[in-house]
Amino acid sequence: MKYLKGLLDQIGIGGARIEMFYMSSAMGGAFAEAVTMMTERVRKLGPNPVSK
Amino acid sequence: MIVAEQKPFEEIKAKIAKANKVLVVGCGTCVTVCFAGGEKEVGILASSLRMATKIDGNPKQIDEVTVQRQCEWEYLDTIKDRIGEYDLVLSLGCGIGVQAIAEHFPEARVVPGLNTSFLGLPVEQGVWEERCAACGNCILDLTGGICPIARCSKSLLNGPCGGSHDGKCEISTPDRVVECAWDLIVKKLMARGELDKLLEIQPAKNWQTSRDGGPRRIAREDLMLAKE
Amino acid sequence: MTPHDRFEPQLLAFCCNFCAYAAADLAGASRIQYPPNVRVVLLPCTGKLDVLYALKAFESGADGIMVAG
Repeated sequence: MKYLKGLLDQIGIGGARIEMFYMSSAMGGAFAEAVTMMTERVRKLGPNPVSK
Repeated sequence: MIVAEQKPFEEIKAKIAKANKVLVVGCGTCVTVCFAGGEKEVGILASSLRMATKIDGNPKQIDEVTVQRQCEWEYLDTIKDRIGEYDLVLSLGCGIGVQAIAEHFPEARVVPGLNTSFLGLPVEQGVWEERCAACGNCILDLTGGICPIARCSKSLLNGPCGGSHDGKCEISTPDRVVECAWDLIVKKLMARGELDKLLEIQPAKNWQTSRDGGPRRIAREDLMLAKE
Repeated sequence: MTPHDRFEPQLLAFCCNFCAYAAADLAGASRIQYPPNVRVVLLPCTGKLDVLYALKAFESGADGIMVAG
């Protein structure tokens, strides 16, 4: 993950666009929270610069 | 094996800056095993370069191919039909691979993507160390299988020198500990009861077989094809 | 900015079959609300994730990636 974030920073995509989450199969709420958090974060970052 | 390391991303980016069509050529032998220029590294580098150059507003066509061995004409022939389509070839082979491509395809412009480092082996996951200096005149039988040419900082043949402290070479830093090769040799021979081996007077080493004799060449008539 | 023209990111979630994929399944079954921006990709284990998968996703236009296990 650390290597990948560094690589994405180098490319210019930004390591913040990828994140690792840990949860068990019984944590439906945690999954929803993670998706919400990530959606908000990436919304702030804006579109992927590669797809412009 | 030959151990190499990928050049910094920015340096590679600068090297391909003027080209529009780039072929990234990997090698399936030594540099695959040391995770520097195999099929996977080619894929990661090509994808990264495609995205990075696009973000910089200078998109390029960057294609990938990995040959089994860049240092043999037969394997290079597998890309001979494609190579003409590209205005730059980025080789992820060792220095031999880069030169083989340049020699086999004289029209191609080749740039190296790796720094070829040394002849060595992985001592643990992710760590490689130099083991052979290719001096062309092996003396490992005298030194308990530990090479003082490659592993002693001074390539001494009669060590250890005064720079050896607690088995460590004086070039050691807190980040990088270098074992004293002669300390290793003496301990190994002592354990085997062969320390007296070191008392035998050896004739001066012939360095002509090393780089001192200029570029080296081996020609074996038993293997060469008969001349008509 | 009205809610209609705000940027909707495309997220990709690489999920472990046994943890996060099941968690996502549970989130659905228990009707927990979460943003519809995410597409779930099932992996047998997050250990199967490869750097190339992530790069390919970004190259194909994904705005963000979640790795969940």
